[in-house]
Amino acid sequence: MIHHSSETYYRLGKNLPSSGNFVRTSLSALSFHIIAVSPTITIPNTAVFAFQFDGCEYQPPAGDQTCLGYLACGQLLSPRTRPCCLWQQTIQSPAGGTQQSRFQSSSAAMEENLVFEDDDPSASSTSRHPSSPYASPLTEAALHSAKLAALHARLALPKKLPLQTMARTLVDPSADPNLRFNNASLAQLGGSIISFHVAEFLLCKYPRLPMAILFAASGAYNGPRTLAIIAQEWGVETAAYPGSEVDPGLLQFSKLKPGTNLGEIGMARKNTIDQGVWRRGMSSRVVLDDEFGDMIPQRRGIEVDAKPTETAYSNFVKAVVSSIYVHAGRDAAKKFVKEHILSRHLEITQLFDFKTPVQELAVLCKREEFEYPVARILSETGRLSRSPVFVVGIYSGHEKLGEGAAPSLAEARIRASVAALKAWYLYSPGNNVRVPSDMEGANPKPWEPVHIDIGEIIH
Amino acid sequence: MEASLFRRPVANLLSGRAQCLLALNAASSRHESSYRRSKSRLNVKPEPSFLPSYSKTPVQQDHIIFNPPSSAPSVLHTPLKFLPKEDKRKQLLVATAQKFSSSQMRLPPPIRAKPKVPHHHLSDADIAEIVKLKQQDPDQWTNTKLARKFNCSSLFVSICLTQCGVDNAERKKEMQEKFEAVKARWGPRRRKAKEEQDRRFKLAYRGD
Amino acid sequence: MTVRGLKKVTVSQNGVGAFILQCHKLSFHYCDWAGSSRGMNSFLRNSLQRFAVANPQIEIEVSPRPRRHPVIIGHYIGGRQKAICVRNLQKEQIMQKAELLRDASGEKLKRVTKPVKSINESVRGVWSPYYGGGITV
Repeated sequence: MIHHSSETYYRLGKNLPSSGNFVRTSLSALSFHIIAVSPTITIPNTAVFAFQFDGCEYQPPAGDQTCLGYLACGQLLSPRTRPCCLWQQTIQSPAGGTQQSRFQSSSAAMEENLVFEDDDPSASSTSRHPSSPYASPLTEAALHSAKLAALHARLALPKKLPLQTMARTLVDPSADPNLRFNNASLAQLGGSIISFHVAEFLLCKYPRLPMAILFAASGAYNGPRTLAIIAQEWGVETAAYPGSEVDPGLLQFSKLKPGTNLGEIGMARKNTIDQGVWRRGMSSRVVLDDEFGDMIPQRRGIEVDAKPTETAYSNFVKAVVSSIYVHAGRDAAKKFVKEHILSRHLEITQLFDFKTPVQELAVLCKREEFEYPVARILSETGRLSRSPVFVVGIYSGHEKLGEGAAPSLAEARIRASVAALKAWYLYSPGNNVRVPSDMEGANPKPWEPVHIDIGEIIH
Repeated sequence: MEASLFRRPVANLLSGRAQCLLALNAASSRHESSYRRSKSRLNVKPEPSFLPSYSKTPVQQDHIIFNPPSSAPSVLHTPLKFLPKEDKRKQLLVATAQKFSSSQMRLPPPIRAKPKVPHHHLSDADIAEIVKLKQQDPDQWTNTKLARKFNCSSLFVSICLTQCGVDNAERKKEMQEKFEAVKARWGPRRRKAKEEQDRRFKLAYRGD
Repeated sequence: MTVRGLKKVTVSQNGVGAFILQCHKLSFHYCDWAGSSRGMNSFLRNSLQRFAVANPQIEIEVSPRPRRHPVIIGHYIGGRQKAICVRNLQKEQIMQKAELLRDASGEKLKRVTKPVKSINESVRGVWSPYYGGGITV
């Protein structure tokens, strides 16, 4: 402050007098003024080894829509002008600079047809750092990211899936609103593929599951929370802030600001429920809601808003599946879903919460024309003691349907009824039951119809 | 004096007598004689059907050993009755069951010897009478009293009344308030016991 | 509705279906000047490429660390790290250490007493005194 010449600048760090606490040792007392400055961060010089990209030599064909953007007029880019070189021209052109513009032009008439496609003006470049002129990394950067190549190899993705597409799956609409460069369309397709395979697996393996349990089970297999866990178990990390200078191997999205109320995100039907317009029963969940029976956000443009990490991660997993589908075909996508999503462990017996199991079992027996279920004591101990145990079995005629042990007869009867109902609902034709998509392979065996149940118990 | 006291155990140890070594950790281990006794008692002989053919009393091995697990049955084992007709297991299991089940199989006793009240014995006129009585004097004719009069369950009475559009929200609220007042008088032990019971029932409805 | 579904998530069983290598990044630190890095420098020049090509799932990072001993740091899925100091080691020994880090799961070392660890329910269920015939002792 006083004498600039006499000021001593120390870097914040270890073993230095001004690291956090103001320490005045005899040594530092000699200098007049100590100001702690945070070090200016310089980007480290990094070199990417070529051998990291062994097996990633495959390049997408010209005009590949999954990674290079595509033309509105339907013309394709010719192979000699890759957008990576177009990028550089765009950067060098005076129209570039701070204005964010993306080249979407036909190569044949490149000079005349310079079409700059402006991004969403709401997310304008005013808040963007000058070192990051675009919302997401350039396409060519994917070819130099060791992180991305390692992720590609870790997931054992087919060689036909180019790194550029892989990079695009990691860009969320909240990072780059341009539909040609973010993963919104891929995630939409991938979500459908995943939920198709999960649904056919569940319906064929457990044909009697009631709707509520089917929703819960499909949510457990491919709900956003599970997909986020899967992406984290793949070792995908998030970028602190999206931008074109970020490594394309990191997941890029706008994070929620601290203090945002998570309940407000995408709850469009909440008000209508409060007004008593909707009774949110199972039928309305089937008709109006998504594949997990959860409400679909109905506000438009919600994709480009900042979002929870969970949503961004789950969109990434969906986009990976759809990029496999697009580049390597249906069978590869199915195999990927089977290996990464359906192979996970779910304790399906623990998804049930009954309200009136005893009555429900009675209704079931009436519907199926079994004898009326009777609770019988199989064994008991210490009836007059402080801690008795009763083992109660539910019998229909001479056959035992379920049994349960509890310290009171009423509770044991409930447990036995719950066990019997679970045994009904969790009937399975077998572990290796065929699903309809098995028929799509080459020379499949003739289809045998799977068991179709008449439906859950209503009373 | 002190030095000799201190030195003695060390000297005993070094003398190499086995008794001393045992005495050192006598507190942590069971006595030899009692150990052998309990060990031999726990050494249960296997089921005769499990004995291998080379044992002293060889057993014919041309049968299936049936040794059901001593654990609660899994809900993933569908009972025979619940298997659909087209399931291949159904025919196999039915054949086996017929072979082994005796015609006069004795069933365990039911929880309740016979139902408290008969079922399906009230006519439409009786139900109309129930509704009429309730509407005339709801305070006098509570559900319990009606159930006692018509020899049916109070659940049946409440179903009749709700289906006929009798509004008993006030009565419910009143009873709820009464119950809250009773609950307020509970001591800590009863409250804890009730809370634990609630939790247990909640788990029972999930089947955990 | 008489039955309600409870929200749960599936649990990963790495290796059932797909296998994800738990080591996602290996960083090699060396010093150009110090003698303890001689083996490491030779490893970086001669063997690293072979190692990286054989293990494409791992991101390789090489950076100088002047005036310090050479070290290999393994970064694992889940955020844990393991570091091994490879001072004065030969090229082949460093390769062994790199393979050790590659094969590790990233968890702390613990004694394994049972050969199989499973989340599947046991076939015969959990023993309970209220079921089965019972044996008089």
